[in-house]
Amino acid sequence: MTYHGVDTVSVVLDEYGAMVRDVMADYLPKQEPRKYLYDPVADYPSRGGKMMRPSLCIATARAFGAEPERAVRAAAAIEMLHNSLLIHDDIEDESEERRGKPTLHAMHGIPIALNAGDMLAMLSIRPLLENVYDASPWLSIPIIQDMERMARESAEGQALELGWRRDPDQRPTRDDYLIMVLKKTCWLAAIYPCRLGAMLGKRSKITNDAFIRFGFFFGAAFQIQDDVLNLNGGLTYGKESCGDLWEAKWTLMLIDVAQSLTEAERPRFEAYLRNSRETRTEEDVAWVLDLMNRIGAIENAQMFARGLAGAALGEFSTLLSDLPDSRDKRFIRDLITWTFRRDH
Amino acid sequence: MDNPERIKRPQPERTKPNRNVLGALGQSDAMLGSLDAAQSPIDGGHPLGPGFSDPVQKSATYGNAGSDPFGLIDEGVRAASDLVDAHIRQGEETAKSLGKSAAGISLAQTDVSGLLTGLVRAYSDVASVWVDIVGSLAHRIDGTGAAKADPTQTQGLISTIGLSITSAGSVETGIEMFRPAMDVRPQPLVSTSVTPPAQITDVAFDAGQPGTAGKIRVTVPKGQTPGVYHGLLLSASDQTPVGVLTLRVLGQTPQEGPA
Repeated sequence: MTYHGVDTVSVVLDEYGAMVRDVMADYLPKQEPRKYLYDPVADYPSRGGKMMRPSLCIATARAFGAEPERAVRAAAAIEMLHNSLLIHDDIEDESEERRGKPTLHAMHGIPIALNAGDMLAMLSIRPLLENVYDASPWLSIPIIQDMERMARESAEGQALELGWRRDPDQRPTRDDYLIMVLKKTCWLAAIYPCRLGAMLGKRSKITNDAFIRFGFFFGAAFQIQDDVLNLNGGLTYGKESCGDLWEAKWTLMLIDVAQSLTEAERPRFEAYLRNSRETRTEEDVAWVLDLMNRIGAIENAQMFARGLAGAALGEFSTLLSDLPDSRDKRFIRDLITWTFRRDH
Repeated sequence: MDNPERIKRPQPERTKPNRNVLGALGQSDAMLGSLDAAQSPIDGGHPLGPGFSDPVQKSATYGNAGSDPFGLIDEGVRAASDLVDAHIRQGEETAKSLGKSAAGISLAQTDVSGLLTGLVRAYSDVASVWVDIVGSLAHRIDGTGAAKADPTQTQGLISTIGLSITSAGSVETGIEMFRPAMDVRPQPLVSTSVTPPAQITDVAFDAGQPGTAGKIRVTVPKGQTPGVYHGLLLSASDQTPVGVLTLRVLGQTPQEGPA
């Protein structure tokens, strides 16, 4: 069986990704201080990545009739902000690798990485501001409002996850996890790119709830699949294999494990949660992975993600049914199923 | 040509519509099990797929879904759907609370829109000229656009359209223009909220005399199924959406009709 969607998605991701990298390069200063600021600032954006967020923004904008130039500028703003948050996330998560290379703070230390992340976040506003200058006055405020909402939701989602790690006594439920994903992942990965693209394309504000359901279903399916790949990906996955288990990061799989422990297993699991990343042993990580396999947590998570993807397809057909068929419209649809065919 | 091989019609890979969640994701039909009766939204099923058609029909929880893995999908997605709806409501409330200024003047999004509307009205002449200029520049910048705007025709951009409705019953209508366009090609109006899906095909654009606003003429057939119908307005030159026409056909009372 051939999946035409795979080729369509890969081609569009490559094409739009290249366009966004070109535009991002224009907004990344090539001046002093290079060594301790602008070189680290340009590091993550130059490492590649899937470019899913900016491509989704461009595709939505073009599906609604936007000019490519404005769509690409908006997409560059999203990708720059995404990279700035990755720098901060890597520090907060104590991650060692990003896209197959050492994380920025592992290379330059936390202070320089933190500052570079701040600068990249500030720089991400510039392409958006230039779009706002070009936009009609009744579109400027909704664009800024949406950016504020996305940044607020992302920070709140990150805070939820950091809180779970800070307090090992907390036992998040499936709903808690989904709320965290909705805020931390879905707003920046899908909801905001689609909303921004639609506003640019329509040249008017959109309803407050537009694309939130679609972005949530798609973004949550993507994140859950990401969590699964973290366990199965091996060397093909950019982050450390089983890195989430080493960090005792709460995923649907870990939540299922926590809810199905026997009395005999509970003390060891509590100790696993309380230990730091450095003091967790390979035996503990292998034991938790074994528990996941034993209760079918990984398969259940994959099935749940597919259910969410089905809901995203339903939302897609409702949201974009009026638009004429186009490559961009097909890309958005195929991106949903591509989530399950990627290996990183 | 000697002994040409006869072309055979290929055997179809599947014989029934592939309209459920797993089918859309390339899963085997053998996995579908209880999902065989799934209906697509266009057939009247819930847009989220199987398990959503009757909220009362299934009351399984995560706990008792264990013996039926597809029940877990349905219930889990339903719970996720409730969750995102709550998030949307919460977002509305947060937006309102953030919109309060220190002086107690509400600057919620609807009020901002009102302020902007007033601003736009006050400077309508300037704004309309500005929009025209940006629109024509944008067409020139867009290398992929099929047609370039003729600088001599920038004053002929359509930003407002009149409506002429012929209907035996009561209707409500509205046009939302995404942006000005040189010419407009309305699409048939479609409603998927009624079963079976219905269309209104007698939709045409009348450009009118130069200097006057164009008009879309819609004829609603007698007995048209009540419901909300949407039709996209495309730019005739490059087929991109420039607006949408919404028409609600209200239920006809027995007294309605020719006297």
